[in-house]
Amino acid sequence: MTDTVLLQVRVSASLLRRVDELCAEGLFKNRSDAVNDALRYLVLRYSRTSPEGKLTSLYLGGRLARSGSPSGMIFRSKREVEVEF
Amino acid sequence: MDAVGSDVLTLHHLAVESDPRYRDNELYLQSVKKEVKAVTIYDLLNLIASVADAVGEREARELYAAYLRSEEHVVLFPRPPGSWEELVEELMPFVLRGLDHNGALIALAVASQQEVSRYVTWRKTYRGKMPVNVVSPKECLRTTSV
Repeated sequence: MTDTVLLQVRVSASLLRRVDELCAEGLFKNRSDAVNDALRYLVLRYSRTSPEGKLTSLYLGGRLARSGSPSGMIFRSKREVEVEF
Repeated sequence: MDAVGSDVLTLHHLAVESDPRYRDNELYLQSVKKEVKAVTIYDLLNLIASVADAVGEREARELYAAYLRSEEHVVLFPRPPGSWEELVEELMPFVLRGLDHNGALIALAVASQQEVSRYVTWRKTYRGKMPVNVVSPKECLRTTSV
């Protein structure tokens, strides 16, 4: 059997009710099973290896510090550029 | 809030001064400089592709990061479809209006953000097919100057 530890966390009552409903529907065996699934998903989501993947995860999670604007980033192409109409 | 198309952003970031739309394009972007603008993830990826192609990978990566970090922009990521069936179901209403795949994805993303009131692009083929009004930068300038 996999080594397990007891994790004590506080969650909102309404979220826990929803988790209990999912358990009652048979999607998870119990609360531990549901929390394990959620944590696996969380680890997977933040395990992106490319810088853009990590940045996107942070952005979607609302954890990316916002500052400045890209408006001033002007690049000079070495060749002629055509933008489709 | 305006959602800005990749063509408008590409003209700006690659400073395509030889393009006849360039001047109005710049005037429009100046007019909304301090306002929050939306960019769909599909438009942003198209912009990044154009910059990577014309300038290089490093600059394209920097620009992607700058848009995600921007105070002036909201990048629209619609909820990803759970299956191919769901994707087809969600895209079909837009495809049946005559939008191509890219346009239908943009339409889905725009529809995911209620604050978007218009989509700004030079592409006339999107007109009347998006969930919001489609206007060109030139038309935006006319409405703001009246």
